[in-house]
Amino acid sequence: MKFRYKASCRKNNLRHIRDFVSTSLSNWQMSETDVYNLVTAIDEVCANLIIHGNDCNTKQVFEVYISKKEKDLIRVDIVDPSCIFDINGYKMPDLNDLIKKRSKGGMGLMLVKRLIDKIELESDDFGNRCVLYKKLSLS
Amino acid sequence: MLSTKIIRRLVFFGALFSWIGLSVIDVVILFTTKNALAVNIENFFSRAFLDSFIIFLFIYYHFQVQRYASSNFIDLLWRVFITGLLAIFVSIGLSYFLSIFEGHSFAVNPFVLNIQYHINIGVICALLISSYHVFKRLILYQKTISLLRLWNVFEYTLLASVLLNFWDLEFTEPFSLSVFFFLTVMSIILSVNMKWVAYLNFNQKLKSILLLTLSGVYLYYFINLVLVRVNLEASITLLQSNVTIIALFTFVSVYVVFSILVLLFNLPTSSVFEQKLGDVLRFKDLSQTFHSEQKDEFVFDVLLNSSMSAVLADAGWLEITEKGKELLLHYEISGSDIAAIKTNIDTSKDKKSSIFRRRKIYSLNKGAYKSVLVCPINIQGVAAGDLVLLKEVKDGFNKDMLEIIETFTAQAVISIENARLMEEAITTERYKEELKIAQKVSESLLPDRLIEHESYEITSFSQAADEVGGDYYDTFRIDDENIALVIADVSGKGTSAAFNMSQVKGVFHSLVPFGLDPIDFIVRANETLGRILEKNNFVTLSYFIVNTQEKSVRFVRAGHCPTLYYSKEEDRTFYFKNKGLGLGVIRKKEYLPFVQEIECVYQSGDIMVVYTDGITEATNPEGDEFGYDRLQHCLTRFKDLSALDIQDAIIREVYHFCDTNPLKDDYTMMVIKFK
Amino acid sequence: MLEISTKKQEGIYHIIITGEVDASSSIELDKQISMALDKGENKLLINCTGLSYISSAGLGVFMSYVEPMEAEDLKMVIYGLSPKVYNTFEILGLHQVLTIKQTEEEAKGYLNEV
Repeated sequence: MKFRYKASCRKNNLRHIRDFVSTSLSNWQMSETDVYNLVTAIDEVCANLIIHGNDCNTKQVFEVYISKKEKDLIRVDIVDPSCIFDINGYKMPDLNDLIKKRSKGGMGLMLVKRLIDKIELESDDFGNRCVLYKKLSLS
Repeated sequence: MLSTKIIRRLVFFGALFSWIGLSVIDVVILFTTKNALAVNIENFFSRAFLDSFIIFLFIYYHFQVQRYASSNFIDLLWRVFITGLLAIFVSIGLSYFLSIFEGHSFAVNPFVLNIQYHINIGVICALLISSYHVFKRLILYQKTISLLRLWNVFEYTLLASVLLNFWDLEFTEPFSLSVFFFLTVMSIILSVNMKWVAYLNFNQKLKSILLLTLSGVYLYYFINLVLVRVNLEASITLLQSNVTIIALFTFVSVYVVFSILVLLFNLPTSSVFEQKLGDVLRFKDLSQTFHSEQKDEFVFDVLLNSSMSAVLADAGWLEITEKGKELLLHYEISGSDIAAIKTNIDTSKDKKSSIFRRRKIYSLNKGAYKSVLVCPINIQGVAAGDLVLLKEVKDGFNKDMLEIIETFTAQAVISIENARLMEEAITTERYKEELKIAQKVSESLLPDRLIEHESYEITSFSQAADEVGGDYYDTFRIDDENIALVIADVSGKGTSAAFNMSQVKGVFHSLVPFGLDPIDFIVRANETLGRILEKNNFVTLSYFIVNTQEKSVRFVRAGHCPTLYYSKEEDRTFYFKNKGLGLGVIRKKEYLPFVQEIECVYQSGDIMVVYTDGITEATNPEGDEFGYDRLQHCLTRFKDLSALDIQDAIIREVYHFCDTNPLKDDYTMMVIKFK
Repeated sequence: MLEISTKKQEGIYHIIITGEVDASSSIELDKQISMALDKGENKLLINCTGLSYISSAGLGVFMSYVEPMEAEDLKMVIYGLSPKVYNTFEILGLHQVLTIKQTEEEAKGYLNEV
């Protein structure tokens, strides 16, 4: 089973994406915490993509796919035709620095890295693909 | 058959011929007697000609009077008068002509006198018989069967009496006398029938008296001429011995005298009869207002006017205060006067509630109007208003008047009620007709057959709760590998649902050939339907693309029931969990965020059940819904059957569950079993 | 959806958050807190019993006030976090930087400390 969602780059759509993720995941048996963490991680990646990647250009549409690999592995593909942010190459900021700078952002990708087991970046004919893998906790 | 016109002419010539025959024979007899010739011509021929003359004349006038079938009584009497006048002119003219030759032998020539006498005979016979037929019409006006029988006895006896003359029986003979006596008695009995008099107004009665009196005078003149002052020497045929003529004369005289007397006595009461007749005619007007399909206001206007003139009221008004409709018609009275009278009655009777809505006659001490008549108007059993009539004199109304007004009001109300019922019936009929068309349309919108493929079995079932269903399903082959399925439930019932359904079909068939992704399909469908559906109308829909090559199903749902699935591999049934908003719900904002697509790979033995909420929301007499759990359980039980059998089994379960409960909504279901 | 209501009781300024705080709705939260500070409130009580989700953007809002509050000697306390939401704070280590209490009493107690 594979779930697909298309969204335009609008911050308001984030809640619909979270709804899509939690609804889709409810088709499989998994713990609430896993669902919550996946929702959070996907929300962060998408927010980053909408705000930084596409400057909230509402005409831009990206896609989210959710599928299950093996019994306990969830794969999430976030496909954007135009740009991609290199999460793996992203250097984590220091929390204390952020506090000093009174910064409101900068923690999203940090959160993703801590919630997700593996992140891959690909590029193909459809665009740039950010693939998240999450191993499910045994429930 | 000969036409009456030809018969009339033949009879006329028969009469003329008989008269000429009579005259010639008489002259010949006179001649032979005078000259004492031994030519023996029997009086028999003279009598025969007279009798045939009378009978032909009788038949002639029978037809002649029938021609005036439509004329009124005065016209009939007028004809008697004219006939008499002509007869008088002929007779007097002849006498005057002879008087010119006074002293001349020509004037005393028995042959000339005989011819004059015969002309007089002809004229008086014509006058008597035409009068007889006219009076017959008058007597038989509003006839009863017994009266008709009596009349027939009289008429046949009269005609039979002609034979008396034929056999040369003298008038003075006992048998002739008894026949005459019988006819006289019958005349008197029949002359009592004067119903026509009642239908004349005062002027018509006066005219009738005049015409009848003059006719009487003519009769007297002729009788005097023919019967009394007859020149016996010059006459062969003597009418005074003819029972028929005497009886006719007696009858006509009796009826003339009776009529004049009855008319005279009826003169003073004419106004009352006229009033009653007026009432009847006004009543007719009221009844006919319905046939002319007039508006309520017109009927009420006729009612007020008729009532006013029926009781000779000086003023009046009619007030209707039905819901959604107010009407005040007034006649010879102003609105402020109406209010004054209302309060006057209220205070005079010291009633808490309004005096109106009760039938009653009031007398007032103050104001211009001293008498008030109130008649309530109830339409379909509900008090709708009042009819109020006023008179300046005290005690101007009586109970009879109140009853007449009530009758009028009742008739007017019947007219209005009938008109309303008719209107309702027409509306219902039109609605039924519309529904029939809608039913045909909605039936024709569903596909005759579904797209088959070797990789699956497919069946469908649809049952409308009303005449017109709002469920739609269809299939379409996009290309060799891809087949689209759709199921939709349209909001609304009846005709509007069928209309929306046709829109959905149009949208489906125009978008599906593009082979769009389910997400894109549904976004476009929302865009189009949002533009064309009426406000507040929406469509729930599930759209599937089955790829037989990849053995996958991709689908979206827009507010529609979740798809039920049986997975052979996992051996479990479940509902796919995805969300989507109904089409036409969001029209201005972006619809895309509300669509979630599912792709699933199918295996042989997998079953997909799509349906409308009529299935899950079917209720049993206890009010429980069939629900998702029962449906899921059904599929688990029947998973090993063929698609058609699964469908039949589920439908049977639903009907069994509903028991005696009728269909509330449309049921539609498609079952796809993959091979 | 996010709903924020505020009230003042016994010198304490309550901010009650219901719903989800994400990159889109965090702006509203930021506005409410900065408004309170502009009014000169010095005891902020953030009621998160109705908070069902918070993204990094929401956390960033709280974080951005840590430094100015310390500088001006203002107090802000968060309470009523659900375990899932608290987990997010924890992952980023914000539970050490922000004052988080479990119940309203504890939170009030902290604010009323001298």
